Order: sequence, then structure tokens, then C-alpha cells
Amino acid sequence: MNTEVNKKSIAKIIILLCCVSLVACSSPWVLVTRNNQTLKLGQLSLQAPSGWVISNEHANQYAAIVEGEQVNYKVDRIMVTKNGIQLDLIDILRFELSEAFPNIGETADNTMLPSELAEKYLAEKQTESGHDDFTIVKNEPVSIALNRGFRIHYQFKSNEGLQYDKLVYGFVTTKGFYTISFRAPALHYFKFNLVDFNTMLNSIVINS
Amino acid sequence: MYLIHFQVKYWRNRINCIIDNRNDRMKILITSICLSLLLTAAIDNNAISAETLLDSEMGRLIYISEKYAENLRKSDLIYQDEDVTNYLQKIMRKLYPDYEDVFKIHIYNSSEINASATIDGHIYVRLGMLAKAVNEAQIASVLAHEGAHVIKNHLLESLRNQKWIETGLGLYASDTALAHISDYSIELEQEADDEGFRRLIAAKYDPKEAAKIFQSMANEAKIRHQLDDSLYSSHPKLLDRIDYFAKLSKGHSGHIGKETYLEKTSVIKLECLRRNITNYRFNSVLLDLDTNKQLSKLFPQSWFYIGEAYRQRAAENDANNSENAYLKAIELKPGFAPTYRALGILYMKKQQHPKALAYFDKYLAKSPDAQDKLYITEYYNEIKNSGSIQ
Repeated sequence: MNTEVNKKSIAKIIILLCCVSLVACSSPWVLVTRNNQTLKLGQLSLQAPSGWVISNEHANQYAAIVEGEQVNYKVDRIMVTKNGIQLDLIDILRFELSEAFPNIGETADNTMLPSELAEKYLAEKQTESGHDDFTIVKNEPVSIALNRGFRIHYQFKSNEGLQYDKLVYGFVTTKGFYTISFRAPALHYFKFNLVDFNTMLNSIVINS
Repeated sequence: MYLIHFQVKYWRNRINCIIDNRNDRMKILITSICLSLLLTAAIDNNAISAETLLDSEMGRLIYISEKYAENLRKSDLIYQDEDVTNYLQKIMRKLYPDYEDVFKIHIYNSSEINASATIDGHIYVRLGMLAKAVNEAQIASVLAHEGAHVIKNHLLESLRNQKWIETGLGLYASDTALAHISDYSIELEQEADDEGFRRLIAAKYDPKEAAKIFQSMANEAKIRHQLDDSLYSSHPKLLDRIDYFAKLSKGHSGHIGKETYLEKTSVIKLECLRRNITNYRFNSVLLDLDTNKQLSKLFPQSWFYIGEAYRQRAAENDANNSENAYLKAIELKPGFAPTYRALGILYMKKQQHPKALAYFDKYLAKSPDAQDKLYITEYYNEIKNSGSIQ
């Protein structure tokens, strides 16, 4: 009798452990608990801000709604958030040069001028839904770790009518088109967390 | 037909009353519940006539349509151009003189090439459709077709065929989907085409233009690789439809109205060209300007869009085509600043630095507050500092 009870208990414990380990393995979020935690994506390496959370949930996927249909593109991607992706999101993406602007079917190459890259980026964004009332606040050339690129600050309204601010840096290397962006609701969150984004941006190193 | 017309007006009035007065709505609700209980007790459910069901479903669809129209009015999705809207309304009256008060035309702010109708006669014509048509007879073909869907009650029939209403799924479908669907069955589209054709002839339009607008849409679909996906493709295979209209209209002729149409819609056409350039639809721009050569005569800056389209396409010889188009734009419209920027960038990439600097200079002088001023200034300084200019 005792042996049978023990067997049942052990079975229960094993099942419980399996469940716990499965949940742990699939956990897509990792908390950044210390400063100087390095993130790597393609040729990029940069420091994640402490107290933020790194997501691997969409690590190789970029989904866009184009002409009413969801299209998934294969990319390298790291998403970092502090309060949840709807409230603040740092999104680091690397597109293959041949699929740099998938919605408009355009490519990129490292001979492109920053204004040409910015023009294609904006065309790409404006084909996606959930970008109503698209307003460009500033569009300017920048240097990102000695690479020529663009910096665009724009505002848009989500499908639910919430106004967002988005700041995006983009540049191209021989190995891909990179964008590093910060997006948050215009009210409170954008200004509040911009400091962390700028600190992260200043830590960028591009390895050849 | 008149019965449906009457029903539409009757339900529209009744629903407006219901929306406007909450007390009435409460009274009607209570009365309806009491009546339903009495009816349920008195008669078998199966004995409720098809007409009663038609009335109630139609009433609901009209309510959705009106709510949808009201929401659109509040949003910026309706393109505000009273002159063009009235012009289209006039065409509609010519096509449907017997339904004078039923149709209400709206211009929908989208570069899609499409049009749609709601059950109670709101016709939503996309900007893209207005830009694609090159004369009044072509846009009349589209309006005649949409009007036919309304007077023949196709939306209700279509929803019924799809079993949305009977299964109750319609209750959960979005208002937009129910307000105006665009995937009618082949039979219903054929019926709308036939009625539309009849209306075109009666209004003395040249029906041959119907085949031409469908051909333009087919060409656009081809360059967008969408022949089987959208752009009226649910209509009985677009190419079959072109053949059908071509056969029907043999021996007929009538009013085309090219000049008036171009004059009324030229601003819309130019706006669509600009949007197509912004969205990298360079093939659409080249196609539109090729089929509508008058546009570049009317608007010399169209040559700038041609240049931009060639630059974006970047196929063999396109750099030269682009340069020639920009130069033509400057010749015809020297005050249009973006052309100078475009030429500056083109010459910069060709390493023709003195020319590039000259055009950048002119661009910055003509457009001192340009949004891309910082880029151009940087390029300008880069060339200056490169030592290639003495």
C-alpha cells in the first residue's frame, strides 16, 4: 500500500517538475538585473538598460499588416521593454539587404545615401496599418558608431487611437540594414524612458 | 424595385428616430418584447413570413450603414472636395433618375482602386478609382455598377447566401464588413454589370468606356501582382468582364466627357501620383502617366514624378530617363523646388560634383525650410570638403 502511495507521489512530483521546467524553458522574458549586460545582434553589440526586460519571443520574426493581411518576415530581432511592449519598446532589428524593405519590395545597399534610406523606411512604415495620422517630427542625418544613417522622430496613432512617439535610427552595412527604435505613448512614457534609450544607443559598437 | 426603395427610406427614417430618442428606443424595445411574446404564443415560428425577416435584417443593415457613414464623417477618411462630390452626385442622378434621393456619394480617402456601396445607397468611391478613370463615362460605369448592387439588394442577398444572417454570424461581423462588402458572387456581379450597362445606355454614356476602365484596373492589378487577390478580382474574372463589356457595347456610342472629368479630378490625380511615389509604387505612376498623357500637360510637375518613378525603379537606362524627366520638369515648372534636390542627388551619385552643388544651392534657396534641409546641407558640405571642387 505504502509503496503504491509513494509511486503515485513520485509520479506527481515528476509531472510537476516537467511542467515547471517546460514553463521555465519557454519563458520569453529575461530581466536585465545588472548594468553592462551586452546584447548582440549581427554586427551590433550594445548595453541593455538595467531594470528592463529582454524578449526573445519574436527573435526571428517581424510581422507587418500590409493591405489588410499579416505578413511575417524573417529577421534578427531583440525587443526590450520596461513596462510592457505597448508602453515602451526598444526594438533592434537586422534585415537582410535583399529584404530590407519587404512591404514595398525594395532592397538596400551600402552605397545608399542616408536620405534614400530614410525615404524607403518611411514608405515602408506608411504601408503598414496601425500607423494612422503619421506625422514626421524630425528627419535628419546622423552618425551611428561612425556609420552614416538617419534619425527619424515621428508620431502616429494606433488602431485604438492612442498617440505614440517613435524615434528610429537606421543605417546599412555590408551585412544588413539595421534599425534601432524606441516607441512609447506620447503621454508620459516617451519622455520618461527616453534617457534609458539614449544611454543604450550611446553604447553601440559595430563589429566589422 | 420601388418596393425596395420605399423600404430603404422607411427604415432609414425609423432608425434615425430610434437613434435620436432614447425614450422612444426603450418604448420600442418593450413593445417589441411584448409583441414577440404574443406572436410566439399565437403562431408557429415557421409561419413568420420571409418579408418580415427581410424587413428586420434590412433594418439592421441600414442601421449599421448609417452608423458607419456617421463614423466616417467624423474621421478624416472622407476626402473633402465638395465640387467633385457634387459632380459625382450629378452623374449618379443621370444614371438613376428614378432613385434620386437614394444615392449619396462619398469620396473615400484611399489610393486603392475600388468602390463600394452600402445597402441604403451610400456609395464610397476611392481616390485611387477617381485617379484611374480618365473620363466621365468610365467613372459612370463604376457608379452604375455600384448603384445596381443597391437597387437589386445584393448585399442582403449576398449575406444570406453566405449564411451569415441565418447562422447569426452577422451579429459578430464588423460593421465595416456588413456595411459594404465587395466580394459578391459571380452571378450578382454579372447582374450588376447588366443593370449598369442598361443604365449607361439610358444616360447616353459611351459603354465602350466600361471595358476600358476595367482594362486599366487589370493593368494595375498586373503590375501590383494582385490579379487574383483584390482590385475587383472577385468580379467575374476581370478579363472575362472586359470581353463581355466589349461585346455588349459593339455598335453603341455616347458621351465620354474627357475634358470636364480631367478638369474636375486633376487635383485628385496629382495627389494620387504623389502618394504612389511616396509608397514606392513607381510602376503605377509610369502606367498612369502613360495612359493619361494630358495630365503632364496640365501639371508640368508631373515630369518630376516621372523622374522620381524612373529613379525608384532603377532599371537599365532609368538613370538617363530620370535625368531627362527632371530637366523637363525644370524647363516647364522652374519654381518647383523638389526637382532641384532630385537632380542634385542624381549628379552627386554620378560624381558630377559641380552640377550637384549648383542644384543643391538652388534647392536650398527655393525651399529654405525644406524638411530634408539637414540631409542636403550635409551632402553639400561633404562635396565641398571632399576637395573635388576647387
